Amino acid sequence: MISLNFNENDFNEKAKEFREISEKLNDTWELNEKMGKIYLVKKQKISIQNKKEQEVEFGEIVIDDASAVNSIPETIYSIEYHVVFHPSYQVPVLYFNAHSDDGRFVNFDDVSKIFVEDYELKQYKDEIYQIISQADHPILFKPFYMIHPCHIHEVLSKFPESKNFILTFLTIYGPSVRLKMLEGYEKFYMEKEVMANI
Amino acid sequence: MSENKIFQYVQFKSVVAPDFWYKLAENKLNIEKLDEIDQHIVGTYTNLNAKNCLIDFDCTSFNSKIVTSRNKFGAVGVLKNLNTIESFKNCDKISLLNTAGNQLITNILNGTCLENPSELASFLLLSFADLKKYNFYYWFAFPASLDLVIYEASPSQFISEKFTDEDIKNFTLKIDSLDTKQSAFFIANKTLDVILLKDAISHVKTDSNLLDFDLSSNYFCFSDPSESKCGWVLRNYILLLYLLCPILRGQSINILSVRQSEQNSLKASKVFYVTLPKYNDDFQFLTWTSWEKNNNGKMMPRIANMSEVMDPIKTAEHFAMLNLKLMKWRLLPALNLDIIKTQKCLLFGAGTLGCGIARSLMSWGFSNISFIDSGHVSYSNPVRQSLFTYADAYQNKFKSKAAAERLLEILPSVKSHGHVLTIPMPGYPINESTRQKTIEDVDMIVNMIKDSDVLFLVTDSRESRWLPTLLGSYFGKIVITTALGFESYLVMRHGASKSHEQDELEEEISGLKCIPGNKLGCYFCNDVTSPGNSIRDRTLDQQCTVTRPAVSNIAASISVELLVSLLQHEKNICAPAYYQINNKSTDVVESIPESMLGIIPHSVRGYLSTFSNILPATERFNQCIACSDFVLNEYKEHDKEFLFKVFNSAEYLEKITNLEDFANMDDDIINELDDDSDSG
Repeated sequence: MISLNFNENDFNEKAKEFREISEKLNDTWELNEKMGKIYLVKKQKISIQNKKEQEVEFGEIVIDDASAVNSIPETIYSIEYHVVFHPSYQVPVLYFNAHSDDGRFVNFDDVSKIFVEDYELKQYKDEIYQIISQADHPILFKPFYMIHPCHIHEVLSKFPESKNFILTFLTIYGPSVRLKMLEGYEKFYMEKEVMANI
Repeated sequence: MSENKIFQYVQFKSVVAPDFWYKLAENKLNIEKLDEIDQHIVGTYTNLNAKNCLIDFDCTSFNSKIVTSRNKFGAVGVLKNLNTIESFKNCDKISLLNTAGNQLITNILNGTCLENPSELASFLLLSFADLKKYNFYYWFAFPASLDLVIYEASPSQFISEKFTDEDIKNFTLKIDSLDTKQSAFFIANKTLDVILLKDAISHVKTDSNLLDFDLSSNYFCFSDPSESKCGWVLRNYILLLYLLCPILRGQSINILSVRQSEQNSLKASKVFYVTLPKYNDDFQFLTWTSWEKNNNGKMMPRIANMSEVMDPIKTAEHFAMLNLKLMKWRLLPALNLDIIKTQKCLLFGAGTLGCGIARSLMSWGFSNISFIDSGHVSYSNPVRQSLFTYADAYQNKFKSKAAAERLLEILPSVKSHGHVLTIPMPGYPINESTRQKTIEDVDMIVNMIKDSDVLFLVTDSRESRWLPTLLGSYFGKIVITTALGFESYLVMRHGASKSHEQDELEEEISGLKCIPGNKLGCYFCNDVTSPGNSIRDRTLDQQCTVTRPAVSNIAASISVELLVSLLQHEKNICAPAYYQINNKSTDVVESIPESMLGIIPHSVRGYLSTFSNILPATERFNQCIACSDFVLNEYKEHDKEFLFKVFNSAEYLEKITNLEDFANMDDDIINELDDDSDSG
């Protein structure tokens, strides 16, 4: 295996660079700091139809409002992603938590449902639980879901040309938890390279 | 003008973060207590990559200042947190909405909304926090006038169809330079120069508002949290324009919905053309909408149960199960954790084995574990019996009670009871003074066994296992017996009772003999004497079981793992066991059929002197003094009358099973003595 030459300082530097590009792109990554440790944060919302809500048994009101759009009922999930440099694995690790629009955290059994459509659930549920665990966040010390880091080192070592290993990491691991990277990040580095060659 | 097509708005949808409920609960407990005061709270919405017209609430909603940032706009509202579910149910929702609506009109007419346009995005939150169950009942309302209806004048256009790229680019910069209070609602001219509401409109002399205004080349702009049709906030903006700018009544106006995409693009922004109505001057806006719909599309209150994160007991339960779930997902997808969780286990004996078994059961996710034991915790117990402490001995607690309490301390969601009961035994005569108590004890034991799924027999004598063996067989329960010698141990599952029908034949495998689960023996099947008083003839050191101290943990662990293997087998209690017919063929053990967790032996006998196990399987003995038809039928027909005969004279068992014929047979079985020490 190719050895990867990055440490926490490199992570911090690349995280700041990543955050700067994000700001330029009006993407919403933020850089948080706690006790000298920094990590990247992004919040995202997704909507899912056909999740039946458990109802209270009272109080329904009907108001006929011709000026209101009759929307299809949906459940909104807020997901918060963190990219943290893991102290023991020494690689970036993707943590996340999710809650539904009533403020309840998504529990371990349901976490797959927010990442795959119902019809795909049977097929992918097992796969998702192959990679997702629940563990304490190494900086916040609160329970978070994590994408298990055991192969990250190996995977990242296949991209020795990477300009920013955090970007490479997120491009590879993000999509499995509905985290898509804007094209602008790659473009930023490509343009930077073109400029350097002129 | 198109034929009176009513212009429609997308309703706000609330998104509450968990920390909103934490903060609400904290305020209720520490600040408001029993007061029901209206509190001002705030929400936020965004027009950046916006979808679904969402409005967010989190712990900062309780701050006195709105925390906004670029593309993040404030909404202001009132929280009514009620003290009881009844007042939550019964309060007049329509009148609350009307009050909120009237307040909005006041804020428009007195100029508040011009100074701080965020006031137009107003809301009401009605709630009741059931802090015992961590249930939050809540209902948001986003007041808007039901009476004010506007119409589409012509189809909408994208911003790029109306304005030059240059103007749009400058527009972005101008918006960014505004406070978000102002950029939520404002006016722009034909080159997208920004005019603030307070500069264009006065709340004092409304008749002169916008007199020189060219309605066709000016745009009423708002930051839109919705992606296609206009978001709810526009509705109150229109109300403001109607009330404060009489000149607009009956006129068509341009609305610019400002929507941000990534890379600072405004390309999703749209221009809408609408016509305002012209009502009589004395028209009153009296009816208001709307309470939020739940996720099933019904206009009714919602409930958020936060116990999984707010209730530490639930949290502990969740994390105790987590490793098991990971094992299921990663290694054993077919693992049935539900059956484990729902099994009720009853442990006869709360000594070294009982404690060890209970702990292993908990680690496997068993959630219902009870104990029967009559002894007290003694000073010699805590070092070996993993559920007890010095303090338990000092206080001379009952072992069964102390063990159950300790399980609850370890994991509060476990169901565990300790029963102080003496198990009646063959050959321990009942006299008149103890007769009534014994009858009650037997009834209790019978009821508890009926109510259980699994029995562990881990008492300190052989004869105390007789009654639960008989009853376990009679009621068709899984029974696991565990016993200890000095450096040896026995773990055995009793055969299923005959009532477990088993028609199909087990597959034949050469070199192996298969015994179906309902033909396997019990602890007493190998033993051809009736259980007498085994303690009476022992020397003192034999009465205290002398074992290598960690043997019990090994045996306890194997007992639980044997149970789990059995529960995962499709035939459950009827799972067959195998034994080798021909000692010469050595590989045959490997051909024993496996279930998910491997083979399921009938019994495991282990020897620490060689650190080895053997796995004997034996058939039910037709004259068994605990599980044979003779005995079960006697019990069925004579119930306690039969039991009492046996308690008074163990030889009665030999009589009814014709064991007397075997009188000369010697006891050549390892005398597995037993667990525990002092209570015997």
